[in-house]
Amino acid sequence: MIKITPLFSGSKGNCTLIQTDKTNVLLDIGFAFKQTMSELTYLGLTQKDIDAIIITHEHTDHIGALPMWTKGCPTAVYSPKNISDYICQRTYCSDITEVDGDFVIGDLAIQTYTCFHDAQECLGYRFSDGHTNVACVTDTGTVEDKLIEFLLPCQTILIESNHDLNMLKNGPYRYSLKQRILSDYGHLSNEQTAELLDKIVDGKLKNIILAHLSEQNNSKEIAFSTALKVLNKHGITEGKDVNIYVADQYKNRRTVC
Amino acid sequence: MLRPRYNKNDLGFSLALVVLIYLFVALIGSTVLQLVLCKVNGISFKDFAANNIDIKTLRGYDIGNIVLMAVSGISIGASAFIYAAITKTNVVKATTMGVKPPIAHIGWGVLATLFLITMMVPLNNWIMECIEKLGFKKPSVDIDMDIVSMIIIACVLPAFTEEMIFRGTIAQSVVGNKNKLASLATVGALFALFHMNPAQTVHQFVLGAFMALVVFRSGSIWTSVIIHLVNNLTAVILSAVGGDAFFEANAIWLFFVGLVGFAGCVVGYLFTTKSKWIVDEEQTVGTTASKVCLGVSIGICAILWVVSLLVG
Repeated sequence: MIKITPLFSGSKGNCTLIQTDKTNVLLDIGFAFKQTMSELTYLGLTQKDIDAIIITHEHTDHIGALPMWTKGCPTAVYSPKNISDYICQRTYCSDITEVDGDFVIGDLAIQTYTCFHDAQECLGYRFSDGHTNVACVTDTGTVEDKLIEFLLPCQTILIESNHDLNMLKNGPYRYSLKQRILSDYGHLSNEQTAELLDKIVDGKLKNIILAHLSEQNNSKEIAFSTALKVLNKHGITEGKDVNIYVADQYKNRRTVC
Repeated sequence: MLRPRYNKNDLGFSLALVVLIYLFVALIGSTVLQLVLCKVNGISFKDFAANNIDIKTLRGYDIGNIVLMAVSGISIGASAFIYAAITKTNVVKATTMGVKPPIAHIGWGVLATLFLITMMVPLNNWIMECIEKLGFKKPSVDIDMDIVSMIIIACVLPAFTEEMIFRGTIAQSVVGNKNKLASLATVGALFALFHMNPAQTVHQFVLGAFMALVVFRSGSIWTSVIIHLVNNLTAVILSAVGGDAFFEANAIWLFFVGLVGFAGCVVGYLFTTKSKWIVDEEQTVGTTASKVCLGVSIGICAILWVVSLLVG
């Protein structure tokens, strides 16, 4: 069974723990190092227990604590091929493996999805232990058929629900930043995520983790209610048939499996 | 499926565009001016070039020079609109032209600018003296124009056109950086370098960075348009009124009064006004093409700056 624990999720930094009985993997390490260590300690883990750090893309909210982490511990780093040089410059004593297709870490088979994001390369990942599939896709501006196909076999998905359209449009961000977030290479809005969920909730899905919420342009309540509407539309009961959890920026301490 | 990229402000591309357009217009414009003046004065271009005739002595030079300066100035502003058109960006929203300027920001900005000029007049003179002492030709800051043309062409026009591109476009590409001081220094440095005037480089750096600060905090380009206008007008008025002897006699006092006044205004401005400056939550990395454009543009401006220092 694969367990997924979002440690930090949002525009200020992202880090998710993916676990099986034999393997512990961190997906991104974009929040402060000290707080990351504090959360891992709470979960009974040390740096040495982490088998690998998998990077989605090179933005600071995904790799911010990578230099600090690798300074003290040579954890293996898996990076999208096109950004491996950039990641190499920010990594101390770790081996970096270029991700260019499917790969395996311990008992986890991992497949990739290429996101549409304003990065040199941004990947979403699907983890499988042979029994369950868990996918994590954030930082993508477009919902496409390929993404739906990527998520359909999953029992658990961690999916971006970045902003509420009205909050963003009427919010304090400058024009260029709003354009960036709204673009096909920006972030998924609550509405886009709902559109995506509408196409996959009738499948194997059991757990939905809404992630990478913007502090300025979204609220947990709006993101949750937008996703809930989709479940209601399909006659699915939240909490019974499918669980929705909205990941917090600073404190989660909730493991989904 | 074809997917449009978002229309972002890019530091390298926007700077490269303004440098390219400005140099192209300046080069073509000055050549056309020489050809036209040769024709008006009934001399062949060959003779003009061979005999090293001073263009300023030719009939029609004054009006021709005014037209050339106006076209060059307009081309700088036009590059902001061309950049917006190429990137399919709403220029009014992207440059913050549609935002009403807050009065407090204008007030502090204008006051700070007056102190800055008070500090910079003696400093610029010292820099010019230093350049001369180093064996270079003393740089000229004079513009050959009547006062009315000077106010329109050298004050009002650049206050708008330069702000559109430097604070409205180029600066908007660095406003989201987490290191705010680096953002301001970048805008100031590029503004100073683009002017290619060694005698005023320090002044233009400080003014450029300060205007970026005011635009980022006020969220309106009009605050820096007004500050730029006040700066230019004050410089023109001072050059028209004269008073070189007064500035020379009180240089040290004026420098320190200006320095303390400017610093005080910046502190007062930061503590008494509300800021709209928001840095990006996630920091993006520039593309290689953009970095190349930035490097080449800076290189061209730096070479011309050195040429300006050598020629005087």
